[in-house]
Amino acid sequence: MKDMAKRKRLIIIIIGLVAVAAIALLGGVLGKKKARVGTGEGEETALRCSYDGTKLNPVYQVDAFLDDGSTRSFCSIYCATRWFEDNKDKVIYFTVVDEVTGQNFDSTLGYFVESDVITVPEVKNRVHAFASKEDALKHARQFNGKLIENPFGEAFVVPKIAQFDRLTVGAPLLPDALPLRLAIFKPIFKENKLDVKVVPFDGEMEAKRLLADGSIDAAISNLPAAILLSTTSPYAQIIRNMLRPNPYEPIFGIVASPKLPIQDIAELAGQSIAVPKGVSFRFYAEYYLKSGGVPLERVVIKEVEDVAKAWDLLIEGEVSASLLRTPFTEIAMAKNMNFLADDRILTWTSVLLVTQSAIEKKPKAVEKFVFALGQSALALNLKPREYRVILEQKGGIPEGARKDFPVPTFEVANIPTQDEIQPVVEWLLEKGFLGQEIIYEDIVNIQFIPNPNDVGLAFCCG
Amino acid sequence: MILNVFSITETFIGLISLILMGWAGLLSLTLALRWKRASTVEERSEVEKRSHLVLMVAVVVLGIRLLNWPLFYATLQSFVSDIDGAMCIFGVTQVKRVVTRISEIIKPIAFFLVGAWLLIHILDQKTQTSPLMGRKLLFLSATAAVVVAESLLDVVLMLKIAPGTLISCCTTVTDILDRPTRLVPKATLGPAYASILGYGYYVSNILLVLILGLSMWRLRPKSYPRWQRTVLGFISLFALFNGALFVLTQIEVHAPKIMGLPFHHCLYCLWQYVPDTILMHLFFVLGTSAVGWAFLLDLVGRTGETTDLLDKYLWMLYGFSIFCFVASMVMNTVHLVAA
Repeated sequence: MKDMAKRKRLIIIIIGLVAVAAIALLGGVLGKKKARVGTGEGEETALRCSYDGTKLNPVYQVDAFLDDGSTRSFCSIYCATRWFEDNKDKVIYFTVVDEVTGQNFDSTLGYFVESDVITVPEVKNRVHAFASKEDALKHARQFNGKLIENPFGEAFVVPKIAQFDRLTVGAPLLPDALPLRLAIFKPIFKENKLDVKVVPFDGEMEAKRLLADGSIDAAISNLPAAILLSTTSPYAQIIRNMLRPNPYEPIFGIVASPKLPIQDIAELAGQSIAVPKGVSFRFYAEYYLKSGGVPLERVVIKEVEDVAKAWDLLIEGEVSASLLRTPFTEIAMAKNMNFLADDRILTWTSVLLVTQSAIEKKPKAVEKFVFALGQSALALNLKPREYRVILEQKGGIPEGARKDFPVPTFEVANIPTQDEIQPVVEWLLEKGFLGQEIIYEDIVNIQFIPNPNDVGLAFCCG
Repeated sequence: MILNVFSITETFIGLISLILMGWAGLLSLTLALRWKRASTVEERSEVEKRSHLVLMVAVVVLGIRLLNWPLFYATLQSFVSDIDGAMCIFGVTQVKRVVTRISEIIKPIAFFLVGAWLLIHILDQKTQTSPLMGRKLLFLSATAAVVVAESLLDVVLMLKIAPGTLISCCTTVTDILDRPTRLVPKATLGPAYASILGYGYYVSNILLVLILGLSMWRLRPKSYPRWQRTVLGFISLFALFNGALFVLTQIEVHAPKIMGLPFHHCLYCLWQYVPDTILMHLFFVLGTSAVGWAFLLDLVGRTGETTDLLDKYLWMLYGFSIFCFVASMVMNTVHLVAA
């Protein structure tokens, strides 16, 4: 009997211990789900801060993208910086949220203010992030704050193991470069382990100079200029399209002066037309006039410094028409001005040109660069409203037209075809810009274009 | 005051305990003094008669007070959403910092005393002549004083915590580099303190379980070696040390791992994110308390009449303690493996 009782007691004890182990196992699994703090590739969004488990508020969220492709989310800059102290060798980049626009962006581009306002009371975080210095200073003035150094370090050093490739890209201050700007702002390039430096330039001549002295590895250019640049030393190749016109958004167009009753391009015979400097503008001007049946010698072509000048002359009525380019074509459309000719049904795009030496020395970097630009273009096409603030700030749009300026639709993974470049090449030959016939494969390199199905949204844009 | 079912229950229990234990404490002190002075059987019988009601009230109220400790934390947890900046109980404790701190210190003491008194009372009830009546009444008056203070603090706290108070929570205190729970072990154990604590936890717990098992084996009725009380006292001290080590290890090593937040050292957050760890901690508290109760029972309850019963009680308490420690360790280990 005594033995029976002992055995019974032992069984109860064992059952009890097994039960508590089961409870712990269940609790552990459920607890993990409840306190979801980070994501691996393809996983859901994090719900809580990776440092202390505080619920995330998207307005103050900080995200870290790690070298192994996983991410960590933090409730505040306070938590992120504390976590960073022990994880300096893992982080590729941090994104912070601009308190004005709600956009998350690369922390290295941010302006930080410490003020009386507490963002996340749980951790008493008083550090605020802004994408623009003006907004940061405004907040500082309003809430007794001061600009502080970047809390993640002034010189954010990516881990050695990450092995970033470097590229320097020349970009005009035009909407065409928006995917490039977004990829830096978000930061899509960093997510692809790419360190991209942007060198702004104005006009084809400056692009040629920068390519020639090796200051840049790549440049965004109009197609005619790009073909010309690719055939002169240092040799380069077109590796992707940037911006293509569409039935709603022309890139190049001849617009009649609002002060004159010109309805048709044929009416430009004997009239003056302002054309900005550069081989591309000349190509489009001649193409439109020729297509409209207007002999070139019957038009007074007034070569002007840039598109802004052509616009001014048009508005002032000093010329009968002007050849405009985006963003001025959109402004003209918004003002219901009369387009005498434009490229809405044409297929010529602006393109990305990369030097031959960059293709040979860092093909991997070029490949990642093209892929990242595709991701950026996709993000812009899918969420144009979300990113229009970058267009407004860095799209080269004149002050008064920024608010209603439409976000263009970008080419995700495409390259000019032989049929598309042929008329341009013929014109360049005819005008003597090219000495001899060129082979398509020499100027266009298709090896870097990814399969469009492989291009998805980057984590930072998801 | 934040009104919800928890706070109303807590306030109600606090008020009832305050009144009844105030009365019971004073009466039991009077009766204890009368018991001491009584020289005849009649006088003692009279005291016994008068003590029936007070003992009955004490059993009910103190039984409820035993449950009040977890209820207290459940109430604080229910306030989290009403306090701006609170992400766990820690945030709520920051609203009335001093009162809450005193309350949190007094609660385990009250829990221990209440448990001990109930055990002494049960032991005394099993005897024919109530040899422990005098000590029991005296112990009750001391326990009542602590419970009154605890109840008073509960009521004050419930009334004082106002919704919408802005505070900062645990991260700013428990995760800073110069937190005492990090500095002390680091200074004494060196930079590898975390792994020493991790191993130390298991070594200490297993050792305690072995000592308790050995003591159970050596505890024989009708043989009361002189060294037994010293050994019981030593085991109690060891259990206390083990408790301190457990708390330290939980804060510094295990809680961050179990939560999956390697830099967060808040036990309140642990309860929140992994609620079954409350059970794990409860097992540990009960195991440690049982060791202390055994010692106190031996200290207060050993008389000629209780010897046999007492050894049986000690044996049961140590058995219960072993089960609790092992259960706590099993839960902790499962969590660490699953983390």
